[in-house]
Amino acid sequence: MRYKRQLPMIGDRGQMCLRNSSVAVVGMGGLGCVAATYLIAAGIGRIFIVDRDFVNESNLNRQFLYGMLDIGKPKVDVAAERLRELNPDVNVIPFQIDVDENNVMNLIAEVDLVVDGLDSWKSRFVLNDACVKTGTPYVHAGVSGFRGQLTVVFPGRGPCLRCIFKEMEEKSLQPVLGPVVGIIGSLEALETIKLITEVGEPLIGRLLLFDGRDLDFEIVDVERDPKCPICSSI
Amino acid sequence: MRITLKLFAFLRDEYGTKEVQLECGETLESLAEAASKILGKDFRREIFDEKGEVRKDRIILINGRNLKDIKGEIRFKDGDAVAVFPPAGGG
Ligand SMILES: [Zn+2]
Repeated sequence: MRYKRQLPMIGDRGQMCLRNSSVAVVGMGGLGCVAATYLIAAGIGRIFIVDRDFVNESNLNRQFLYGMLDIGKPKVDVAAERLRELNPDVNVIPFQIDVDENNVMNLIAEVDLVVDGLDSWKSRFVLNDACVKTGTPYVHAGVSGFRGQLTVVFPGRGPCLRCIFKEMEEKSLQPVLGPVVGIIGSLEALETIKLITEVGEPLIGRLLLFDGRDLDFEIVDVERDPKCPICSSI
Repeated sequence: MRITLKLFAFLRDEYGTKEVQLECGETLESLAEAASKILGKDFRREIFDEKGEVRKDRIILINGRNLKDIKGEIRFKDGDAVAVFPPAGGG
């Protein structure tokens, strides 16, 4: 009954694919809250939610899994509780860690796909490199102000994050509006469901650039770098 | 030759356009010059920093390839597409 309204698109087979899949949402900020919520509601079998942070009042304009009473608590613990209430069929596994070179392979080994909820390029590249090495699809997104971007790194079938972005400078505390992470985080969940159920055309080799000021969605092609230090050998 | 230059985000406000057709030569230098003629002298600064390196806070794609490692080797062909945008890194 829970999945009745989505079965016309993905079928029993697609629903079974979701049920049998395991996904990591890395970063439980604005993007992560949205993506994880829709994935759990859709009936993903197992979801790892990863974040080292604690709930802060300034998160509440966009991170809707947390409330005033949660301030100071680990984000992943609060999120796990809410998400289990939403769908008790899903196995929600919280990890209160900062993803780095030392722990990333253990995490990736457990999952079929990784969803980017991060706000740091250093951590994104750690994930990208591990995903390329293991052949794990990686749904990337980023937001800033009214803008967002989205692409799917599918190792061997399109460019990786390093091909597209090369080296990046960190910018701390980017301005973010709730509805913008709502849109981009939803699109991450959508791409994830498409990849798992093999329905539709995933955003591989294409980069979506969204601008909320004039609701402009534009997709540009992105190509592999034949000399990419990470993905050129696969 | 004819190149399509696409701008995104605040670059659109800054230069008042989403897309321009440029008539330019084969090199990146000649593209920057042609773009500055239409969009204004400052446009060069959207591509290069003071040292002449490609700016770290812009992504420039030439037919989908990031410019950073290939800027010296670029030889434009008629119909090439160039996109310039500031990456969004927040979450
Ligand atoms: Zn690559």
